[in-house]
Amino acid sequence: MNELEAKQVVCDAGRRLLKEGLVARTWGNISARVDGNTFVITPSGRTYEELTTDDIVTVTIEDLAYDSHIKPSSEKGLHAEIYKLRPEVNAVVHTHQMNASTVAAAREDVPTVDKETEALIGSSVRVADYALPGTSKLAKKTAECLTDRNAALMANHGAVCVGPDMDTAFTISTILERMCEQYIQSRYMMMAHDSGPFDTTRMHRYYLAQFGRGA
Amino acid sequence: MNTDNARKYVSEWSPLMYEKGIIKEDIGSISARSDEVMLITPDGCSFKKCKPEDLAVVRIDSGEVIGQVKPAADYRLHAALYRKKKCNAAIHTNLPNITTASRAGNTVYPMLDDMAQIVGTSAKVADYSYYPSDNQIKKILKALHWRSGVLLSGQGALCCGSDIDDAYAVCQVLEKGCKSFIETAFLGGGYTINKIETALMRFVYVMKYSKASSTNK
Repeated sequence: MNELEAKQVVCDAGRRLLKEGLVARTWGNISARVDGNTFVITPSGRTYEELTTDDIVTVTIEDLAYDSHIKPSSEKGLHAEIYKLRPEVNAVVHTHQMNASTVAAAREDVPTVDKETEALIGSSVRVADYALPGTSKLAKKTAECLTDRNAALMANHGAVCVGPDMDTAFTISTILERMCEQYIQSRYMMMAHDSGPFDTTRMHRYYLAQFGRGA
Repeated sequence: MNTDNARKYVSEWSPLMYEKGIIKEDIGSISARSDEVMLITPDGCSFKKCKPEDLAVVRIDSGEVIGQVKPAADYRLHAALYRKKKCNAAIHTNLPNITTASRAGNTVYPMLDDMAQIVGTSAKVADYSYYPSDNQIKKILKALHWRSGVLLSGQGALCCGSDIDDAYAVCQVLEKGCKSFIETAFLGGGYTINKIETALMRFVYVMKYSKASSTNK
């Protein structure tokens, strides 16, 4: 893939993530590998709706250098670390999606429950230790969790999904969100001994009775 | 922004915020500053069909209502907010996780980085009634200090920003923050981020990152 094609893929993916509700506004970032030395990534703090290929920044994997007046995402180090460790990965999607973020706040690994998901993601989704956003510590710890896995949670932050192409990374993000949603629901139902179909209103009522100040 | 533009601005955002579930029929309100006055959604407003002339105009300094349109019940809180903070827009939201957290009554501490950045180091719960008293307003604004959102006991949250879009972002992030605070209770409890780190992230966000959407071009 040449540089311009990769930039177009990143632009399109940004809008698609926004549409699917996996990211809101500027939160999260997306990149695509151009070759062994470089990748292209979304800019820092800009909303996906207005992005054009001119706004996407080319970054060197080895030293994070970029030649543009536009600043790349502050998580460029995380993307570079993944491209270094996983030569077969060509697309990285970092989101702040609701359910994956919730499980990441509980810092729990999520097991994959069926063969299809296991083939796509790996046997579980690990949680990377907490580190401040944009730091090299966060980049290293998160990339390590992607050994033999195509998705990882970032403690108290969000999720990162990778794939041989953007479509696969995108599909993994969507599946991860559903997996985390089901994981939360099943844990609530175990705790509340609730055997009926899941209902958010009932869960909130149970929460208020058990954890509310008046409880 | 002059009053006519502000009328148009608030009336355009109201149906959108209704559609997104940020505000509900009869509950919730949206306001924006326009120099010495603020424009606020009226009492008993149909957010779906809000027109510029439907909005109420209130003087910020005195809280006096100008014209015939009766403002939303919490208009005095909005006016007091503009007197105290530099923000230009505010939303009283009733998103589901925010509402449950406001009923639970516990301070919501950030379990996610974006909540620390965009809402602040915590979302406190302040005492609230349908027509908030002076004392309640004083305490709500105190709970908003150095923050962009405050939970209103049993009635959702007040979120503010530099414009409506910004206040909307605060609503979304606070909703996610409340969701993780609530649902991690079923996962053996969530981990809150330590206070120094939340304060640091908030500081960097307010001073630098929040401006990137217009400066990083």
